[in-house]
Amino acid sequence: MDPVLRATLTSWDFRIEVVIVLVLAGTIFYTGWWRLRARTITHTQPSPWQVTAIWRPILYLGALGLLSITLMSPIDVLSAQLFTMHMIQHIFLVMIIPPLLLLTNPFPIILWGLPRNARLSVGHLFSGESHFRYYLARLTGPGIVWFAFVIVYWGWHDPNAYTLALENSLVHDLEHLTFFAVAMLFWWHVTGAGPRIHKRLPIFARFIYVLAAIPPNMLAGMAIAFAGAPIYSYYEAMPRLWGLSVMEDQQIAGVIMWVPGSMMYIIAALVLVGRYMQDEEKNPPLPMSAWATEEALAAPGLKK
Amino acid sequence: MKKSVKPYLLILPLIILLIGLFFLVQPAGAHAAGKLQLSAVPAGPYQTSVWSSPDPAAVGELHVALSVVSADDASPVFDAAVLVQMTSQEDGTAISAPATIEDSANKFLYEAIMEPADPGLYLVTIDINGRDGGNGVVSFELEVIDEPGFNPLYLIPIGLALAAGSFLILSRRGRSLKDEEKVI
Repeated sequence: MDPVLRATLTSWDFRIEVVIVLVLAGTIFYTGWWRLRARTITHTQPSPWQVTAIWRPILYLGALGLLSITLMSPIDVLSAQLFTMHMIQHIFLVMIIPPLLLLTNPFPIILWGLPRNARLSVGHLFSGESHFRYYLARLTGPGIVWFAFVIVYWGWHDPNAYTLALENSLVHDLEHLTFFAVAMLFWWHVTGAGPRIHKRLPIFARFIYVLAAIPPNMLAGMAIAFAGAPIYSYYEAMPRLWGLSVMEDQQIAGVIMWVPGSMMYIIAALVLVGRYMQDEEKNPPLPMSAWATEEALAAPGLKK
Repeated sequence: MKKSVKPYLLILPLIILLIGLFFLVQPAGAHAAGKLQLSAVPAGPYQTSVWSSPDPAAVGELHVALSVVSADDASPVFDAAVLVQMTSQEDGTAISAPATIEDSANKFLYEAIMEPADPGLYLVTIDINGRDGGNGVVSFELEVIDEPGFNPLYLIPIGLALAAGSFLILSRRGRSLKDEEKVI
């Protein structure tokens, strides 16, 4: 095997703290799903969207598996050597794994995975009169989350912050944690997953919300792709792979951030459009008298 | 109904566990190469860059990571024999260890684990011997401090955990006061 390819494929970093957290998260989720399934009365035609549907644990555990690969595979190890790899890792952490996790609506399932006292305790926190629920809802409103998302995303791409993260393991972990946390908050509003402590955004509002993430992402990607000199000097000392120069690596990373990065938001927006149209199809059609008259056809929506 | 704070104490061990996990993070090379000491310097027929971790270097475990590439075409060299030596400028004592790819999570880098026992200024010398007979030597000075002291970066996860815990407790207290006011 080519020694460069072998070195690429064998650069893994097994981290016990990551494994512990992921195993815990998976176990609690699966326990909750199993308990709910045991309590669910089976209908003749179960809905694919019910909380005990089999696809939920499959998707959730699959997303956790993807997270483990993102944090321990060559994607992570070589992110300190190739800017491109670092960008791929961020795409996973921010745009792929969080929506996959939240699509399963994990909160109620995880709640049922907790011991009874803990479940009641956490449930009280999110009950209607709870101050915790009130302040959490205020702190995680869509506008605040969008702002935090952009600040964290741009902030960690500052050359000084970026270099510090490459030099120091603790800062590197902090970078990943903050990326993942703000991404989860962002996609929380987009997916409408629990806990539903905010006023539910209509689909068109979520559509605008997700599209609003594209300009900051695109600006950062374009700035990196079209920069005239290396932005992060840390990579200049690293051995170059596959003939990629520092500038070529930076340009590719910028394009990845700009194009596939923006595509993720567009895909989410298209999914929301599809959901909207599905919901519209379920509404009964308007009677012809409401829209087939001459007045209605000439000025739709105009009421006498 | 008898109120109990025990359910909330179930959340605090989880917060403490999460803080503790931060201290499990390996302090050096595996997850981040560390502080750049030499950048693409010539070493005979090779070119090398060297990093050290942690920063600042302290007595105890010190990781020295380096890349070895061909000076001709910058292709990575995977079969060199690399020896790292640290010589104290205070008393001349020296420690050495081989740097190997096996010790590094990044298989493009060589890594040596050194254990300086005393603080002070050290001359770190790296001797690279290629299988093809090529040889190169580079060196740099490194200040090793006595005790690393408390890393202020740990204040971030600790602070976040304390803020989360305080938020939980104050939310609970606010709700309790509201219940008492209702009774009155």
